Amino acid sequence: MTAGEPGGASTRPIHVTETLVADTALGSVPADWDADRAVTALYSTHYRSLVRLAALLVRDVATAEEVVQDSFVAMHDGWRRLRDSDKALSYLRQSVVNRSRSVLRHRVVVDRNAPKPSPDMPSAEHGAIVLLERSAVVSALRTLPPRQREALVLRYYGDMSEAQIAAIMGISRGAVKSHTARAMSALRSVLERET
Amino acid sequence: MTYRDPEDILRQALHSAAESVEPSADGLAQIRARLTTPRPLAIAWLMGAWEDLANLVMLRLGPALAALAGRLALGLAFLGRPLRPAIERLHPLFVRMQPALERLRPAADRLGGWAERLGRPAAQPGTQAGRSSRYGWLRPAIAIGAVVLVAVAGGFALSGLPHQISQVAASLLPNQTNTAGGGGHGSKVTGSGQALGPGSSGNRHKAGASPTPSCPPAGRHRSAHKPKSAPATQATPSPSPSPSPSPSPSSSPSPTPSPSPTSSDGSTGDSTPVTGGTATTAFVVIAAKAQASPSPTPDCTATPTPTATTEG
Repeated sequence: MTAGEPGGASTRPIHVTETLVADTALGSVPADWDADRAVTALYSTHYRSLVRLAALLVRDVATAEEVVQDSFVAMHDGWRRLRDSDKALSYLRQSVVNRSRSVLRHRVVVDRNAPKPSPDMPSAEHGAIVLLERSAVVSALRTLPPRQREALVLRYYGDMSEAQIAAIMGISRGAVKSHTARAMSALRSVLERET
Repeated sequence: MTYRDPEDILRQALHSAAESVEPSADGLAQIRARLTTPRPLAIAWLMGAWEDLANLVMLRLGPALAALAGRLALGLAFLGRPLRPAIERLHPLFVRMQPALERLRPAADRLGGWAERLGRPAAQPGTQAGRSSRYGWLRPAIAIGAVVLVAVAGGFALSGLPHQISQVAASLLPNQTNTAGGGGHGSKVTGSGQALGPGSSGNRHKAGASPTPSCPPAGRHRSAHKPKSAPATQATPSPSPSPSPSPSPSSSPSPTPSPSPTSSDGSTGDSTPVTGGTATTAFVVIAAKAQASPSPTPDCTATPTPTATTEG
């Protein structure tokens, strides 16, 4: 059940997608609010969904929380420079995606240089990742390149349009289309098995 | 079994995975803790030390600065006295311009308003815009300061320039006089060397250094014995970098005679245009300075060739 479905909001649990997309009005903060007040308001409405988005990207809940908290701190610091306070949520989302990308990049470097652990010793992130990747589809997402994974997560979890994804990822709409199509074709075998 | 859209499957999988994620409840507290993190100790210490130092300096230098300001005011008044007539003459002009400026003010205000609106959101109490309007006077002050600084720096640079030019001229001038006196023959030789044609370029270069005063004395000693010496033999002594021609004649007497033709031969003098001497000597002096001493001997060796050919 997604946010696109009308009605039944009271009967079903509040869906993540709703907070990401349908409540864009809540992303706009009155212009005369100070940074503390805006952070508090945005936290109460969007923190959870942003952590979930980040968790899908970085596959680690603790890191995801850290990423989102960093984004909130950055927004607080740059609140005066934020010209359009209506776009606070967009700013947060973009910041989360960019920071998640940085985390993944850093993780690649660390993994390349870290000594190989013994096979019977699970890593610290193992528990969180296992929690996330119970589904075969989600674990297949892990094999995708970061851009393709971002495009899929924003498209099918965030239910965002191509234009929104392009704005958040900082690429063109055509690139979004191609990333999504390639990711879908890469996941095709897993998805067909699920059907 | 019903067929399900792969996109739906993916969407559902992502949502179910995301729902399993439950962020910690103290997220806001953590964010606030990050926002109120105190400065690192080193930075705090530096800031405190700076403040103390500034206080100390202001305390000690306060009277001195006050006295300096008084003297500066006196000096400015002294400087302003000669300018007073000019200012008084300009005053009516300013008075006459004032109505025109007043007429322009609304347009300027409107322009400023547009620029403000384009540049940033409207000023609000407590926001940066409001604060920047409070410190708005700083911008023109800084601009004026920058202009004054640039003007003063430019003035200093320009005042130093003539001195430097005169220094360079003074350093060049003695060499020119030397070449004019003793090296006139050198220039003559270069002229003839140029006229020789193929192969003369190398000779010209050698001859370029020839007018240095080191060579002529050597030539004068030996006078013009054998100007027909082969260029190859002339080139051999060149490796000796010493300006004094004494070693080269000892090994081969042929190269030495060339510089001397000044006094002995009339032939060299006949064949060369002398007028280009001053221009070429300046170039020659610079080239000689650049090359320093490595080729003083070739100068001596280069000279015989033209003389020999002209004679032949």
